[in-house]
Amino acid sequence: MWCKVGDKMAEDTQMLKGILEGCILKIIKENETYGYEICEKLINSGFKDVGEGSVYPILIRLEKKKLIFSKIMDSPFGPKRKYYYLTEQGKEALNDFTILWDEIKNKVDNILK
Amino acid sequence: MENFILVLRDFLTFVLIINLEYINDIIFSLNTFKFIKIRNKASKELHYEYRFCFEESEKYLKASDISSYEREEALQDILDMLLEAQSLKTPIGNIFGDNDENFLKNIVEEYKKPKNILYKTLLPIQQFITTTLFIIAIMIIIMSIYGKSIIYGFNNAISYESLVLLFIYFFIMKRYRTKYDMKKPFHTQTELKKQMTKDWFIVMFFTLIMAWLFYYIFETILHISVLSSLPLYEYKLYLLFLIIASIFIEIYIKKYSKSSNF
Repeated sequence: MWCKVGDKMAEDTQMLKGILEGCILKIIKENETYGYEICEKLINSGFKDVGEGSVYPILIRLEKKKLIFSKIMDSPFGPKRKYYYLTEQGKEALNDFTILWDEIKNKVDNILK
Repeated sequence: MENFILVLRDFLTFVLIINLEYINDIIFSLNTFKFIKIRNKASKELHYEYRFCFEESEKYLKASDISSYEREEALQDILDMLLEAQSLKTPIGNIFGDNDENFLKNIVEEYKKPKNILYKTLLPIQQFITTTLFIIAIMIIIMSIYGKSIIYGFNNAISYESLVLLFIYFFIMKRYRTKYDMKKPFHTQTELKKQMTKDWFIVMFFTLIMAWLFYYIFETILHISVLSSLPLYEYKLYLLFLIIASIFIEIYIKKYSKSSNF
């Protein structure tokens, strides 16, 4: 129950968007990937309620911020598919996110102990 | 014979006007023709509910004011996502989330976010110019064919009167399409069709009233004959200006909205 309430709360906050952006940057850094795969990885990591619905607009935003770039290639299903890669700016942003996340996590952990 | 040509001209204008929104789609599809071909072919692989969602997304994005490049980029991705989901038997909800409309709304908002006022102004102007040029070209071709055998026809290819009507209809129709395609996605087809038919008549009626008012104000009250039988064919410089303006706007929009390899 608490998990559900927590998920619901997080869903509505800007914080989740920020966290998702960081996680997506990390997923893209590991390998060239595309929207559906990113979404699958997020779901498999525990972000159960994250559908393409929230991931796709984030990818557009990250591309506009020039944190990622894309190449359009053929998809095995027929249409064109965008594969994403991290830019230098994206690598820096991921680094900043990791540091910030560690700080927040430590602070919250200290309070919750 | 003179009357016959005038009736024919008005009839053709009317036919073109009622098909304006489709013409507009065709023209703006030329830029991304290769991708549209791929999309049309691949979307046939979608089964009923996946296809319905895709068609709704198509309508919604077409009605939005994002550029044709951005629209095609998003549609290719949505199609790929739906095809993959279908092959893995993933429910639609897992892709579009709890709120289908929100999903599309978020995409459009993300594309629109950093755009400046100039871009927002130029896009509908360019759409109007290109559509108008296309219609004029067709009218001139048709009328020149008739003009060879019927001397009167050629100089009456298209008048300002028709253009004003086109202009009014274009902007009303744009609003109308935005209203139905963007605000009511994922409604049942029957419900949508009923509403569209009803509103189409209202839009047409409103357009004619507007055109008549325009005509009445200028011709009857102000006694300025801007609308009466001035053949646009004679205004070569005006047409040239429209073509050049359209090319420049197209270059600007392309440069502004083109992403990486698209």
